[in-house]
Amino acid sequence: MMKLLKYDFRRNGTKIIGIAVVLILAQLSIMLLMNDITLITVFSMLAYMIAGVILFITPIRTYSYNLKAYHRKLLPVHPLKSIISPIAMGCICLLILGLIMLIHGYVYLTVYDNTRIFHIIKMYPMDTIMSLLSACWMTINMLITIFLAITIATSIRSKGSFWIGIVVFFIIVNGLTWVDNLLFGGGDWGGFLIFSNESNSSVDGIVTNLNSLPTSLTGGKIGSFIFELVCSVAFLYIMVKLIDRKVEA
Amino acid sequence: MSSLLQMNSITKSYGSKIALNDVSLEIGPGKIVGLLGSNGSGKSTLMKMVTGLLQPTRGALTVAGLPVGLKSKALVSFMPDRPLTESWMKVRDAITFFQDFYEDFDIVKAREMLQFMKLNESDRVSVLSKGMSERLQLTLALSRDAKLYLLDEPIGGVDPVARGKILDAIVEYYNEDSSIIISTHLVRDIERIFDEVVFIREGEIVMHEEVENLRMKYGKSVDDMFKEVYAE
Repeated sequence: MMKLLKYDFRRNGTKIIGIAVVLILAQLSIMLLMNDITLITVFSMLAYMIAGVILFITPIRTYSYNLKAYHRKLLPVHPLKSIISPIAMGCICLLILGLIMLIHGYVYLTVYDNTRIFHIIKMYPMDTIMSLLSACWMTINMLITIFLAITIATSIRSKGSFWIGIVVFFIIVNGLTWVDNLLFGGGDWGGFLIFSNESNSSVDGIVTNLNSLPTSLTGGKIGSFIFELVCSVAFLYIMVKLIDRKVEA
Repeated sequence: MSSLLQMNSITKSYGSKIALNDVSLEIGPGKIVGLLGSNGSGKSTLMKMVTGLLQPTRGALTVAGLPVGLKSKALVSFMPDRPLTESWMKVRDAITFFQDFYEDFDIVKAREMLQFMKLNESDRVSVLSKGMSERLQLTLALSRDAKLYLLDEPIGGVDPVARGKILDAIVEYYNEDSSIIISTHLVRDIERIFDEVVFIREGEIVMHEEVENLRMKYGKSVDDMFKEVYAE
């Protein structure tokens, strides 16, 4: 798997470095040319968001390319590894981006003496960690679902296969969100935790959540997470079978 | 001796279009086999099925007794009609890629072949001419110690000098314990290296004969026989 990952990175290396350079230049420009703190925050977040979207799309394009590329299809490598490799690449890139964003945010908040958010994090470390984990899981889960739609579309040899893939994706996401809601009353597909709305209250501008467990630890959320996990494993199994028997280069 | 490639009643269809129709074929070890046919006769489809790039609609296919899959991929070396490299690669990256994934890749043989083919390791694959690119693809395919080599049109679209060079490389560098199947419609240039020929037309095998038998039985060269079989 590491070898596949190495070649996935090498193929996308120029693009990833390009994104990093543009992001750095954009952040420097925002810092040096803007004075309004709100504008700085908005544009900084926007730059990170655009970089994040591109980094999210990169593994999808990589997987789609690998699925049809002769030199990848011919390798004596288990299909599961060829699915996991682009997911790992996407996660590593997004994690690094997230880490840079956190460091940037920390520096920014310290410089502007805006320590309210640190208080919230200190008060609810578990919620904060679970939120970050939730974001990671959401990314992985969404990538697996998109990969499944791509695999199904590629395994169909007809003109409208691209549109079939899109329809399949929406059917899966909406169908599973509906089942998830039905079984666990959960939120959207792929997110097992967000700060709980019902137990939070705002006092002096600081969100408090003194008497409640982190939302991730409640039964419904755990159930929802396990459901998503089981579905993702099933999706991986279906993808492996389709790549073995149906996807043709 | 057990066969390296065994195809039993293989059919491949795309909707109503039949690419291969009830094809049965057996190739033993130590042979250079010419898979001959006009454009669209099913040569590439047959090769892609042996490598696992395509799945048969019906029939059974084994390589060295193994059904086509993960294990058989490690035994088959394929030079397809499109590059096995990526545009960002240099020649040395392509070599490393093969070395990383194929246990039977022989780096010494690869370096020797690069020299023979006059390829530089520092050259970018994206700037190689068609002829040089085909030489690289052939180097990658033949540098493995595979049981079965499949070369899809290895001399299509290259000049006569390059053709000679490529054919010399095939004869010199292929592993003699294994078999090699070469698909082509440029019969005259390549017939000198064949032990056996398989004629395929409209997805069906119309003849499978040893070259010597063909010459003795029909008194014709492979090229003459090809022209007779495919005369319109």
